Amino acid sequence: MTKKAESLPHQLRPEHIVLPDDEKKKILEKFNISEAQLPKIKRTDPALVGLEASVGDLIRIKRKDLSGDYDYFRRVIED
Amino acid sequence: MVVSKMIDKIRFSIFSPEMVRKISAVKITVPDTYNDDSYPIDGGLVDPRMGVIDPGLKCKTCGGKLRSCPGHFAHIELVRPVIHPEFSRVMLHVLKNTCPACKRILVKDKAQAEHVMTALEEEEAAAEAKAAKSSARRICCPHCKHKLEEIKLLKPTTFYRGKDIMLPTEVREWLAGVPDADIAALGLDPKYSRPEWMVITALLVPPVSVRPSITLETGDRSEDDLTHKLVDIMRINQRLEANINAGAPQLIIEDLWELVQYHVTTYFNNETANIPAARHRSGRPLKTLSQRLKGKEGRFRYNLSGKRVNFSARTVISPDPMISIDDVGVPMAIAEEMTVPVKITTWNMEWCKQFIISEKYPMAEYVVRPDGKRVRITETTRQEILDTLAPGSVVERQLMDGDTVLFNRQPSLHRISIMCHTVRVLPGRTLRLNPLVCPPYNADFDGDEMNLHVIQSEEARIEAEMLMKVHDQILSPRHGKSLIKPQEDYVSGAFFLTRMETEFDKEDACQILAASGVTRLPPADRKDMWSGKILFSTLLPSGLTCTIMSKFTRKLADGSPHPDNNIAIKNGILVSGALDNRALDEILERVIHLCGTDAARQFLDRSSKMEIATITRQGFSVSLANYSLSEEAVRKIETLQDSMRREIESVITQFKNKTLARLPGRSLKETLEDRIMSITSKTRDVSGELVEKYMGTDNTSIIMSKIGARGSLLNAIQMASMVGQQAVRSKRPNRGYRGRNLPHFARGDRGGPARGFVSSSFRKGLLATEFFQHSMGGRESLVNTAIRTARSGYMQRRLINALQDMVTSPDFSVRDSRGSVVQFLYGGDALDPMKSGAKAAVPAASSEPRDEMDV
Repeated sequence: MTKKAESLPHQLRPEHIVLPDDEKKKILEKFNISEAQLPKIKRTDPALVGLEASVGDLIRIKRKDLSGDYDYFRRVIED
Repeated sequence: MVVSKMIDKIRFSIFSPEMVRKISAVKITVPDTYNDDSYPIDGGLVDPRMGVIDPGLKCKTCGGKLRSCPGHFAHIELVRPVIHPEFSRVMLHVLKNTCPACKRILVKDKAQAEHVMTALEEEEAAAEAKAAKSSARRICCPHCKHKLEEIKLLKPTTFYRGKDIMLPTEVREWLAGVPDADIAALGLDPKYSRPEWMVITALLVPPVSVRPSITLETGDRSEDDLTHKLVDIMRINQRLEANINAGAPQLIIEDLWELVQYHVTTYFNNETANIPAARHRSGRPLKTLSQRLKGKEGRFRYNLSGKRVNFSARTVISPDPMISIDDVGVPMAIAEEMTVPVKITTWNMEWCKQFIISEKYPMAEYVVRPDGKRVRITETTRQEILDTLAPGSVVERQLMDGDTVLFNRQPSLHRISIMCHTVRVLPGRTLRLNPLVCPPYNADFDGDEMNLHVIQSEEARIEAEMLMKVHDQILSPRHGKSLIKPQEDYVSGAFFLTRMETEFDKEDACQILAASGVTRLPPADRKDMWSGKILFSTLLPSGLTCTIMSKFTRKLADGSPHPDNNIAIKNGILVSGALDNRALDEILERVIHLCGTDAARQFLDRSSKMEIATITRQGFSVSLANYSLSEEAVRKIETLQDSMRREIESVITQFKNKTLARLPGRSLKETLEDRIMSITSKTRDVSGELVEKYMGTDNTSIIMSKIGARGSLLNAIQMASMVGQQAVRSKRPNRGYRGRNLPHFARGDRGGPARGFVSSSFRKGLLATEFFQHSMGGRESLVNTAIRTARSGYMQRRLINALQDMVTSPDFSVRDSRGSVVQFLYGGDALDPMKSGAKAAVPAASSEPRDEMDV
């Protein structure tokens, strides 16, 4: 009963990756946006379990759907 | 006048009684409106100082007339204050968190005070939890140690302190005593919204223009509901005053006070919970302030968000297959009524003069001079107008052929519910549209009405023509497949035109080509006869090459596959194959990608006329004979039903003996149901094969369903062989009586007929029990559609509200109004579905429209 909840690798859960700072900067420059204009993800989001993400980090989400493979980005926020 | 100011902020706050008296033009003193001579009473509720609504009179406050006087507020001095019902929750919040003795907020330090401020928002959700906590924690005031009692609000307006009722005067005194700093801590702005102002001492009375009285034909005046309510308030208020002055007992005074409170409460909102609605003499509830603003018929959704427009027409629609899909047939009566402004230049001067000179359609009724003056064209002014006509004037001429209009059918669920059409003035009294454009509007001709809007400026006209033209909407923006396409008899026509055996002599060939607007006869391809294929090929662009398998696979007499099964087009010539709806769709989409949407429009117009010409020439129908099966077939179907019956019986016997093998994850009963359902559906499938076999490929019903013109094979099966199993909530029906659906069956009968299996065909007719069970299933689907439309409508409303500001920016990211990213790549692939069909993908925000490519 004391087992820790881990987020399971699941076929429907897209891969989440923490981006290094320089890549984060690149993304912000590419879209000419400030950090506040990025979509958000809570630090406690189950998709981030096992990922060493801290508040402010940019997460790359590798999505796959009918329109093909593409990347989505989310900024980690406090709960 | 240009106002060059920006609104920085808007503050909503509460009027203080002083403020009410300050803006009031009159103090209302008489609880009446007009005297016996039907003059407004001074100090009455329609005092002329509040502004005038009768033409000719002058306002006693501002001197303005009907139009120029905006109306002025008045006020009623209430002898005893009353609680404002819409603010009682805020007052409760303040009362609960302040001390009755020292009036200080019930917290000590600043940090705690801030906590309470945010609590105002959470008040609703946290009310209960907080009440429990506060009663435990706050036994006495932290400042003066005064013992606290529980404050309760009996909705809508009665406050309790412990077990005693608090009179509005007490509430007011308490609230007035709370210091400004504590008010701020409670989340109110003490400068603009002191809580004691929520107890009404001076009631603001809106000007007469807000509540105009109506004069009936009989000459009687009928006052507005608000005026009635205000009269009630005044009347009781005066009675209360008289009683107080006469020194009446406290009980009577409190009763009257209560009554004033009731009238004021219903004056603000006549749908207040726990309060009986104030009613008109006829029993109709009064429409008071809240009711004027709220809901679908309220001021916001009806008058402000929903607007009525000029230059629009509405009437019944009817089909006209002879006009283009871009056209709309406009009745002369409408064309004569609607106008188009034409700016006069030196180049169109002569043309415009015609309209001024003309005394019958097409004519002009007004000319707008360059200085903005509108001049009516009459017998007397005509010559002068003609003489002084100069570039820069605008002639308002009547609607003519070729004008651009917008055409719309409600509900406007998607962008193709409003499209741009070209006017064709036609006889009759209906708006006409080509039946091919029914799908985008979801229109039919059982009495549907549609709206027409005449475009009033060149810019708007160009914009509409570039974005909204019908031929630009042939492909659906949702999935990129054609939405405007041949259907029903057009598909049948195309099939009969292009099948192998169709050929025409020279005269017929010319007739068909002429009907579809083709003026060149291609060389005969079968000795001196023309096949339908070669006629249809005249419409195809030369670069078109494709092969499609027809859905309709036929066999020749010798059993070999029919050559028409394979549809092949080579360089714009239909070499083989009889077209079905899929092939027609494919051709249409290829025409769009090859030659653009205008060519597609022409293709649709011409092919549909050719298809109609073909099918009218030969005739096409279904009859009872189509669904009469041979004796052999009938026998086979009976045998099939017999074996089904036996199968069901055997399963039921197994069920009763408990020898039925349970399916995984199902109970014994469920297993039985599943087994029977699969037996019945299998039976219908097998009977379908029989029907198909015995009806043959020459049966018009089979042809229609196979080529996708109309109806399905299921329809044919249900008419010819059996209707099949009925279902309620995707189960066999089992309702009605104890253990049985209908009294015709034995209790506990789980057989086919007892549980909704209809073995009759529609052609033969249903038994009474079958009919009943069929109706049960029919009712369900009817109810489902009704519920589905209501629910999806509301879902869509919310979605539209949430998504309406989203924009695809030039970098293909989707942004909201703040510039925040919603999607980094539009749709994940940045493609416009309308332009990304199977053939070629085009980026969503591409500035190059595909259809401008060369042919």
